[in-house]
Amino acid sequence: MQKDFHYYATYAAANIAGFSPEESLVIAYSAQLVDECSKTFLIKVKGPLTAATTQLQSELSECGEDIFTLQDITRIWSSFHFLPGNLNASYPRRTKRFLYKYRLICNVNSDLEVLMLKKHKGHSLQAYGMCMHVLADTWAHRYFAGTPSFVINDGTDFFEILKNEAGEELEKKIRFMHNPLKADNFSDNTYINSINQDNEKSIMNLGHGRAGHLPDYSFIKYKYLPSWGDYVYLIKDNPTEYYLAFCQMVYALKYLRGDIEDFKKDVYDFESVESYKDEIYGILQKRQLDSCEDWKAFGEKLTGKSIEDFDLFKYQNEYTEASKEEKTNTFLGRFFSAAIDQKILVTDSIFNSGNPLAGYSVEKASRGLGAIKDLIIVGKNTLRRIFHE
Amino acid sequence: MSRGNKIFNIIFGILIIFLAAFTLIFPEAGYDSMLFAIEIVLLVYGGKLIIFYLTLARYKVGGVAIFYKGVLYFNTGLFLVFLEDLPKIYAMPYLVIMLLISGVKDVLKSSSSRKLELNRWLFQMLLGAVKIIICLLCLFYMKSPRIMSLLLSWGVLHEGFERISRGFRKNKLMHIN
Repeated sequence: MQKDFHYYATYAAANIAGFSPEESLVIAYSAQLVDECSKTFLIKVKGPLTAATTQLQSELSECGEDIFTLQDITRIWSSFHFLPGNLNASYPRRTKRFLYKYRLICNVNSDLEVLMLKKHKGHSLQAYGMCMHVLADTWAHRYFAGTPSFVINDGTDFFEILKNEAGEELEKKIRFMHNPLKADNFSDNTYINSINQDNEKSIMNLGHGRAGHLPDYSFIKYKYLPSWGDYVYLIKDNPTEYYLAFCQMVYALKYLRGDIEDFKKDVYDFESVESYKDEIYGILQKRQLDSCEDWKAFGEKLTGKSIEDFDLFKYQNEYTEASKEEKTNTFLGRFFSAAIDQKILVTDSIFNSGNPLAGYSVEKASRGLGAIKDLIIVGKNTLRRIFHE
Repeated sequence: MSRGNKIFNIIFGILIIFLAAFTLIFPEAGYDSMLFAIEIVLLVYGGKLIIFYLTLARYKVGGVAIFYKGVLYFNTGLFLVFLEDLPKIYAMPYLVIMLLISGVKDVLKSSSSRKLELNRWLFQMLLGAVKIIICLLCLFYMKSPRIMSLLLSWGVLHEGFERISRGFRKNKLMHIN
């Protein structure tokens, strides 16, 4: 998913869930920040490096293929963009090595998703925003894993499923090219994807790189052969799934807000969204690279207030100028704390399922003893919250 | 390409250039060491691919291609090991064929790069063309192992420089959100 859904649609979902426009903006900003909070950004704002929620192109291209780097990549991408669907999934007659990767495939309505929302409930709005990013991405990124893997993330035989004037479905072959400087071309069905590399650990095989930006476009319905799927085609109906994502976000935000007692899997707040259904489907099905303008107009119509553009450095000064004690109370401080919490939750869950791909501990694996500083931040926040309550 | 891979390519390129230069100066000894190096690389790479297939890639759609590739490399390596004691006149054609395959691969790569609008297609085309020309020249001097050995050294030298340039190539990645 892109800024259109993570920022503007999240704003709208938060508002429908009952948050004020100001609160909705904090949630939306935090949801988008997940796609921007790289180590490069953290170095600039002097934040804790373990709070990285994404990796820039320049950072990824410098990544090695040693076990520690791969674990770091897996921690970041599995925790924030490809939440594993079933950490105990089984597949008959498969080796352990295959199962470790297979179990990291992202999917919706997982136990880990419930655990995540329960863990962050009662925390900051920044934590809610981060959760909404992760939740929305489970819909867009399902069937791909947040670890470099040729045998999992590769795919072939991509077809777009279109409807003709009579309403019959037609299949149109999707062509890929590898020039990242070019834009996707909808008219001749040519999309950009990462280069085919039969090296299992190549960064080209991370996430949905081999499927290009297809999972990120809300309008497209397509089918393909996932490399892990035993020659069975998968159909991905993005407009329908994005709508479900939106309804689930509203439901989850109501839970986080305290309006709903317990969060259950596979539950969607269709009722609250019903009156906007046609308008939302209209945006989702529009064939365009970026739906920011449409979602922005929808959000502004909902709240009657204008939505400012996303500015990555909006809260930088507040954080850098705050004293050590006050840092955790700043906007970015709360976000970093939520991000570290999330990474610990997902890494520990992967590790406890007997899977070594994300390492044994976020803090020890990534920064040695220095990472204790990050744990102190998390601890302080927890104590402050308990004290406040 | 990761920093580690880039460094590996540069070091590997330098080693190849040394090997080619050694063969140019001492054709006899250079030929043996070149053959030995190729055998090791083929056996290790082929073995690695077969293990990858057996433990992982056999579950992948189309993964059997990895197995064929592994067997091909491993077999060629083994084949060269058994050729070692034979006169050069018998071993040389296989080295020429390998260079030819590498050249044809570069040309094919360049044509797909051109289709995919990658800028490096022309460079790949030139690289492949030079390798193929060297192989054709080798055909003319089939009966003279010394000249063939020298020609092959030029081909290997070429490969070495290509490896080094690959090490300095700027990365292009597609970013996922």
